[in-house]
Amino acid sequence: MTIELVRLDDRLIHGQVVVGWGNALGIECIVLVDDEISHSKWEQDIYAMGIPGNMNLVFATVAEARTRMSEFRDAKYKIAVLLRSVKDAVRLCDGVDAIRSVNVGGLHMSEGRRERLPYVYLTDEEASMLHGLAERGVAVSAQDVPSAAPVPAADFL
Amino acid sequence: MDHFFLLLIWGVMVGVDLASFPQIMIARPIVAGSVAGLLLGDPVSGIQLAIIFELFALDVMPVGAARYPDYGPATVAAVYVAAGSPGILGIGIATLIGLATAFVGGTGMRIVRRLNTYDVQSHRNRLDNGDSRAVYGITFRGLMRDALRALIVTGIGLAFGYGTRRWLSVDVTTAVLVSIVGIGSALAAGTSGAIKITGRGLGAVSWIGLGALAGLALVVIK
Amino acid sequence: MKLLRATLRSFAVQSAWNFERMVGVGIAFISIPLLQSMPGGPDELGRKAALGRAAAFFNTHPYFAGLAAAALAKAEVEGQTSEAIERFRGAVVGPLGSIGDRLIWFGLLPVSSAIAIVVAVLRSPVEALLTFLILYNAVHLFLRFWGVRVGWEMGIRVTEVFSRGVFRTMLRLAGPLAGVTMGIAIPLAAESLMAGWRPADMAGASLVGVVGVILIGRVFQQMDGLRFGLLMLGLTLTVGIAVL
Repeated sequence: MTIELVRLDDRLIHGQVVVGWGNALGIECIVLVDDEISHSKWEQDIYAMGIPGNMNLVFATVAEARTRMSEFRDAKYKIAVLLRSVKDAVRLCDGVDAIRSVNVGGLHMSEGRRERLPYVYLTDEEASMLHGLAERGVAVSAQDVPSAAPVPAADFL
Repeated sequence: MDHFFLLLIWGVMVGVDLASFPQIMIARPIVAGSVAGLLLGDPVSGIQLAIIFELFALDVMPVGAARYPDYGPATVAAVYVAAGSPGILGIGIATLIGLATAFVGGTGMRIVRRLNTYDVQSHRNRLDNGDSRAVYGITFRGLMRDALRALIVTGIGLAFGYGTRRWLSVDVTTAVLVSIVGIGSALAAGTSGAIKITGRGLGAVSWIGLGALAGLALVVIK
Repeated sequence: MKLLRATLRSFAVQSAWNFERMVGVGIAFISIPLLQSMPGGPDELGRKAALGRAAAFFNTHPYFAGLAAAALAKAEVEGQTSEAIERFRGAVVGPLGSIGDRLIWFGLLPVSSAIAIVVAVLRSPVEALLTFLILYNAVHLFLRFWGVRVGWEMGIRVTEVFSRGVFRTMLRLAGPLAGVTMGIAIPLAAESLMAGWRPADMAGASLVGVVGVILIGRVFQQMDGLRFGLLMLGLTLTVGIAVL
């Protein structure tokens, strides 16, 4: 198993991820899963500039990521999968056995969302989607940085 | 007593510098501590504690938003303790007081940011409608909260320090042991911080190793 | 002039830091002088809407906040659509933070800190102080002033500057430089802090150091340097007072 981290974070690539988690887990490749970004060259260029030289960055749509998940799982290098939307995370996880856990790392204030943790804001719909994911056996927990204690789904959903 | 007042002002300045204004990093122990030493007329204690807490500060990853301990006021308090009993007898106890202050300071930061959040929530409409006075108000109140936090933390640290200087009497053996453990802990924090900053991989650690060889060579020829 | 005012404001960008919008209010605070030049005068609805957008959730490294605020304000002044601006804002929030964190918190800061320790040991406290403040702030102040200027000049094309060779080189060098300088500083710090000690005491401190390096970040998740130090010192003092 070399998918070290599946993370929900609306900032996608930022310091906590590339340095915080990257250094702690020895991440060598980031798979950024997002339909819009996969089709947008200028956004890809911006995300690429946030990646250290010793990391690879792969863009995939949710559908592509689903079909390539077993390839990622058997890869020789350590992978972090990043998503920015709860819906995409559920679409990715459903029916893909390779993903056993989802880390909720940072979802911030926007219309209709309510605070669940200082770094987790969710709409009721998003909360119930994550809840469903947890009930289907995926370990959902919130943790912004490796040095923090993970908060289990039951405590913030 | 006038020292006390000077240290309090300096503690507020370095506390506010850490995250609010102007972030020129006088908040770093190497600055906060050596200036505190100069203010107290004990530059040797100042620089020793400055180095110890700079090592502890290397272990802090500021990417965790609100969790970082505040080592600036902590170093000021520690130098205040050490200036009362310099050398190996005082340095360990001073380190302990500083660490306790840093712990309190980190919690205080969380509270300030929580209060800022309430402030933003209660002015949500004005912010979303582009009311510049709301922007000014929240910024100013945030700055004032942080200054108050820095004042309280420095005050607590200096109170710890005053209590220690006045009432805590330990025998020589204990004082020396505490210093040994304190400096050992600082070196541990600095080393693990260095590893965290450069990354755990072989390549990263070998850079630290290379530097350490050069450092040891300097120790020998110094 | 408005660029200078925006730059000076950027020094307080994190004063209003909050969990809901992080540095968003600070971005708005920097933007105010820049948005004055929007068509229609100070009370126009367009300017207020722009300021409202500026105050939404944003996060970045504080030294790059001016760059982001100026780029966003320029896009507003140029009359870009709010969709385009929000898309840019969303895309730039993480990567810009990542660059800032790697360049400053994991590069400039530990390098300056380590060099200051070396100077403190080999030279004097005052020289250490000055070395640190000058070295660190030369880069820091440059980034603040340059950031607002280049952000205002380039608008949402500002991200292009990060593909310049200087940035790539600095980002590549940051890690190794930090590693080497910290590696040099730690033995020197150890030697200076234990100057004049008996060998047994030095051995004791080194042992605590080794145990600490093994334990920090391992035993339980929140075991950082601070907690390790507090725990060890507290125990030693308690045992010392109780037994000796």
